[in-house]
Amino acid sequence: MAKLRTSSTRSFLTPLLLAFIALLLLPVALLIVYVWYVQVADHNWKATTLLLVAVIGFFVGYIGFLQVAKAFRRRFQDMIGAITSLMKGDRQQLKGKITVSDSDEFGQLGMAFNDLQQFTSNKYANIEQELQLAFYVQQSLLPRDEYELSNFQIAAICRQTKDVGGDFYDIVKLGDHKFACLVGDVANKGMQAALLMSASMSLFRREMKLGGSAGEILTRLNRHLYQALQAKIFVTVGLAIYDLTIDKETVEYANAGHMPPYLLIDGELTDFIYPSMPLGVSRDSQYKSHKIQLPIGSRFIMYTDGMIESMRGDGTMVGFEGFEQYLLQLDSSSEPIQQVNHLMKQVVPKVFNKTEDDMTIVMLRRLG
Amino acid sequence: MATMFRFFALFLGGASLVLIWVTLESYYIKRLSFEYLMKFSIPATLVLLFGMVLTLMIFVAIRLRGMNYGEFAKLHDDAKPEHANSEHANAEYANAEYTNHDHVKSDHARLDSLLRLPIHLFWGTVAYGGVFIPVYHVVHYIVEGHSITQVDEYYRLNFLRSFLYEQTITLIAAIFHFAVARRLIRPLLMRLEYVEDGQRQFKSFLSMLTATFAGLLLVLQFSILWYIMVTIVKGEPFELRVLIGLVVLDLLFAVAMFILLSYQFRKELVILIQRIRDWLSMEQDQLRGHERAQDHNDADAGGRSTSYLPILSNDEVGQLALSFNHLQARVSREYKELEQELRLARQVQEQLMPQLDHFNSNDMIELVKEEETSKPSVSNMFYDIIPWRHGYVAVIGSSALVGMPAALHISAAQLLLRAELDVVGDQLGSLQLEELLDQYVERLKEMFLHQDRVSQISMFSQGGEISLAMAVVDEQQQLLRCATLGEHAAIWSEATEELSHSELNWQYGDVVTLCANDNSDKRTMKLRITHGLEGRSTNG
Repeated sequence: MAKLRTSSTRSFLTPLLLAFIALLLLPVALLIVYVWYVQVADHNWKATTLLLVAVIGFFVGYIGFLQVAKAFRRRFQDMIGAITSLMKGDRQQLKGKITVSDSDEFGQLGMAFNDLQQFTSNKYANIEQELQLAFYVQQSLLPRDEYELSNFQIAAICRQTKDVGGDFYDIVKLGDHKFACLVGDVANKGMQAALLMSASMSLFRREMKLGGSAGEILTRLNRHLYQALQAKIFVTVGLAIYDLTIDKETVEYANAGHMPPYLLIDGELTDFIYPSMPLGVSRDSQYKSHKIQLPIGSRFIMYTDGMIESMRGDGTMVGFEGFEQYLLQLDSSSEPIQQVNHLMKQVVPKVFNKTEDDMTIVMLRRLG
Repeated sequence: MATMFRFFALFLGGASLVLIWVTLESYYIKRLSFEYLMKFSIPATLVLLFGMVLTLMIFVAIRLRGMNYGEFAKLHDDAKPEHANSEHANAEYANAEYTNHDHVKSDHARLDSLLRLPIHLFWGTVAYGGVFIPVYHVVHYIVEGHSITQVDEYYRLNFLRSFLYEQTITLIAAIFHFAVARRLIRPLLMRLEYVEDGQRQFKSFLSMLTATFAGLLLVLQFSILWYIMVTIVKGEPFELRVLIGLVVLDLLFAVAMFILLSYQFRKELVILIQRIRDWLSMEQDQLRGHERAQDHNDADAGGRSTSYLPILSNDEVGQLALSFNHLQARVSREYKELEQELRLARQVQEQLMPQLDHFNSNDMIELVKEEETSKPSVSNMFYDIIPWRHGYVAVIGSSALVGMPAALHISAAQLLLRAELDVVGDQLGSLQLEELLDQYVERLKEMFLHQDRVSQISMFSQGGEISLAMAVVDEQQQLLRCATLGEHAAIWSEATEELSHSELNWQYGDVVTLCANDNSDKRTMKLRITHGLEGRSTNG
């Protein structure tokens, strides 16, 4: 085995041993001083005094050494704590380093550990960089999170659990008075879902340009996706199209197996359940457009199932009831972007949990 | 046997320590003559210590049953290369040592049993002393002709004094047994296979460390006190040099005992450091070899071996090793999951590409797959066969990006191309393919460069261009038209003549090959189309 290369010969044993000897000598010295005193002063021995000196000396030495031993134990505990804390985070944190504050065996162990962490980081730097880039690419596919289009304020958040994910949203401006808003969720998570997320978004944008009602757009999108996926993977989407020139009061909505959207008017919540097949399941699925009245000041909320299935700190699922409660508690006077941020903060588990799903929420608020 | 012999030597050492210490105490502190001691004390102590050695040996034999140290040692020796002086050989040796677990069962009970052995020996020694030291004194008292119903004051005090002193000596022997047993079981522990078993209950070494201090301090204090008491009781002169001699001797002994114990902590820490360093150097060697053999630019998430530290004790040292092992296991799991994700993503990619044997045409289309690597990775190339009214369109394409960004790019590119061709439909026969491709690539860029996106990084700023080779086969008119896009795609006729933006009569037996490379030209994908051979096959 290769000899351990150490930068210093310093060992934790030296201070420990010195403390041990010093604390051992102290009670002994007390006894000897007493003995010397008795001898020199020619006093008589007093057994109780002798015992008292011995007991005091013992406790002084013992308590002193207990503190030294505790400090020694703390070195271990600090290192164990530092390593354990790395496990509480995500993959990036797993490769974190620990603080090395000394050059003794603990310091050397810390350095060896950090070298190993560095090696792991370097070894997987390529794939990490690639995933980072994939994350940026995927983020660059998503539009920005805040809009004011026509007479609507729109805010959106998409939070992927892994580096890349299958949730997506899109907001497409179609002239001064028209826009489309889409929320989608590819079954599965991670890279495989991300592949279909980028494909679905590119197809959606293309189909939006070709025009048609919300239902027609989803019907065409389904045909393309079915050809590619052959019912092996599916995608759920909800699509809302608003055209002020056609009807100022309503939004046209089509659903493909997606979570029912909510309408929030003056503290009252309405959900719109439109049973339908997800995209990519059946070649000939037809999707219908539905008109939804949106009064001034109302908020229309589209989201993915990750918001509902998120686990709270106590191990219970947020669920529809919980999510509705969160929606009703929103401050309607604040900006939509603040509202969706607040909602996301409430729903996202406080503790890192890699099994959770991606989460997306989009809110439309009618201004006038 | 070797283990048993080592333990026998240990207990013999512990017994000798007790014998020598009590004899010296009797001689120098109690001022008893050697002749007197030989009458009863020394033989009786020898019998008692023999009993202790025997008891502890039986205990160890039971506990170590089935754990063949010799076998471990042989494994250890076999794994050591002859030329162990080179760094590489050392790495191999280290590797063999870590992986040679075939003969060793992963046995939690065995690990627990081994880890608890030192502390059990400690308590065993203390308990033996606690029981037999009083027995010794009672027997001694009777042998000297005294009645145990009428114990005089001097002997009562003497009994208490001796019991305390000798029990403290036994405590020191117990600590000695603990410290050395910890060392003796180490080779066995180091070869036990580590199995992740969640949370293990550990004890703190604090009590052992402080008990050592207290024991050694008590020996020192008792030595002084007893010496003084004996001089008073016997009315002998008090000699300071004898006292100083006692203190120095006790102190030297205390330091030796403490070093023996604390050195075990140091040694165990050094073993952990050594393990990490050895594993690191082995991994670095492997990586260097790997880099020489394979393309360094490839995304790699495969082949991570895991280094586990041996659990060498039931205290904080073991806890430290276990927390390290848990972390290593987590890291290993993360990358295995990443590998699995890459495999699944690859499956999705393959799913997006058509099965050539399901394709309904008279032409034979063969796929020569890209160069495979042992590492799980997603592809940055795709092919597609899209039927149209008069024939089919064969396409092969690649992204200039690599890995996952490329996969995102080409999955969007492929599905978008299908959608474009779907819209063009029957007009494909009359359309200029170059214009079609130009239009398509503009659309693709639009998709990835969202008009309202404030963002910053797009795949195109990373050089994410798509290369495409497309052949439109019109089976009715016996015509093949082709076009290429980008630098990394080409179409070749059989006569190795590169075709681009051209049209050729598609006759029986004609062959064209659509070819795409990745950015580094190290991977290629080819679609070889042969007219009218009634066959469909993949070849890769």
